Amino acid sequence: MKKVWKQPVLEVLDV
Amino acid sequence: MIKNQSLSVQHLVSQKEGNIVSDMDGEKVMLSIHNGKYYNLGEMGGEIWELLKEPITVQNLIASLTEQYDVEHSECEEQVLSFLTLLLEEGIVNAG
Repeated sequence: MKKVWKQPVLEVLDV
Repeated sequence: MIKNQSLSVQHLVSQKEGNIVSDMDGEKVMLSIHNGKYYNLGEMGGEIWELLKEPITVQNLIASLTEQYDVEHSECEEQVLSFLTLLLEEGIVNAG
C-alpha cells in the first residue's frame, strides 16, 4: 500500500 | 555549481551543511545559520530532506518517492524539481 502524496512546499517563516 | 533555472533530473543534490533541523508534529522546521531564516519544509519536504543526506541524483530521488507514494512520475518530477529549485535559491542545498 503506497502512502498518500502531497505536494512538497517550502514555507519561509517570518521570525 | 549550477544556476537555479537549469536544475534537471541528472543533477546531484544534497543537504548543505549549517542548518539546524527539528521535527515539529511530523513537519521539518529548519534554521539556516547562513541567512538566519527559518523554514518549514512540511511533511513531504521533510521526507525529501532526509533523502538528501547523501548526494543523490534528482532522478533517483524521484524514483524513490514514486516507489513509496501514490503519485504519477510526471507529477512527482514536476513538483520535486520546483521544490528543489526553491531550496537551491534559498541556499540550503547543493546541486551540481
